[in-house]
Amino acid sequence: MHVAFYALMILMPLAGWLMLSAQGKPIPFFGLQLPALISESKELAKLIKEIHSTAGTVGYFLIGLHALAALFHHFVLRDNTLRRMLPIRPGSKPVPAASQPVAAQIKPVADASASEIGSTEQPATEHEANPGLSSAMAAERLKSDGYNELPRPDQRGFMRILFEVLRQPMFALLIGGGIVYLLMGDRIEALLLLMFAGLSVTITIVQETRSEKVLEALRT
Amino acid sequence: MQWRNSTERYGSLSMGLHWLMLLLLVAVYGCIELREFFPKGSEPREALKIWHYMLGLSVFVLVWLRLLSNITGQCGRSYWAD
Repeated sequence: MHVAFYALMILMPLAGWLMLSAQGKPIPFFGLQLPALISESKELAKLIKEIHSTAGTVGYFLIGLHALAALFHHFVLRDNTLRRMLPIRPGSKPVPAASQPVAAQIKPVADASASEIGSTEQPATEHEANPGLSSAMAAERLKSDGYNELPRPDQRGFMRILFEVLRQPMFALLIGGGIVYLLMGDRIEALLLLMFAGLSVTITIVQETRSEKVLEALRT
Repeated sequence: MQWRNSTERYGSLSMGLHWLMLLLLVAVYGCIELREFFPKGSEPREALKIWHYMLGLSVFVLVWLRLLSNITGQCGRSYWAD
């Protein structure tokens, strides 16, 4: 979804620029005059205009979806996704940043038992207030829930990531569009579209690979 | 305010870019939708179109900054506060 936003934020102004070029109109930019990207062509201008306004409608839906997703995170999932982006000082007491994201990924059951096991090792004063689990119970939970550790899905290799990225509808759309342009014999358009598809795929793969590495670092 | 992102809050750079982009997009959409209220060739209509072009191109400039800050900066995951 964020890739779709980036695609629009890059391709929409570019389409506008191309459109004005094709219409032979000046392209103003705060006192500057930007150069035309392509030569005048009424038909091409019309085609880009149609794409531009359709994509504009898609943009409305995306923004709406984005806002809904933020509200969903805040009110239904109750995480801090929205609060993190609001330019207001957080009022509630801050949660230690380092421990939290790890905790969020651990299986809740294993986490609960682990923290209770942990509390049995605390100083005597706290021990009396919160006796925690007996050794027998702890051993039993360890048997049923396993160790308190991050779940270990198979690490995804490069090809797997590439495949998953390419399977997303947005990329399929971009690449499909590029192929249609190629079939229509419009090489420049095809090149442009495929170039951006390639750029988006590269960025996504870089990010996925990075998050994969971060997850691995958390496990060890 | 912190400049970099943390799991607790986005940094001022990401936050600023995010909300500035919202303002820009509202203005870009606003300009092109509101032009319909003015007759073709009239001055306000042309001015709105010019602003649509210029602000739209500003999006094009800013998006690269965003991309860069997104790729280089850790954004981290959200967590549950309770």
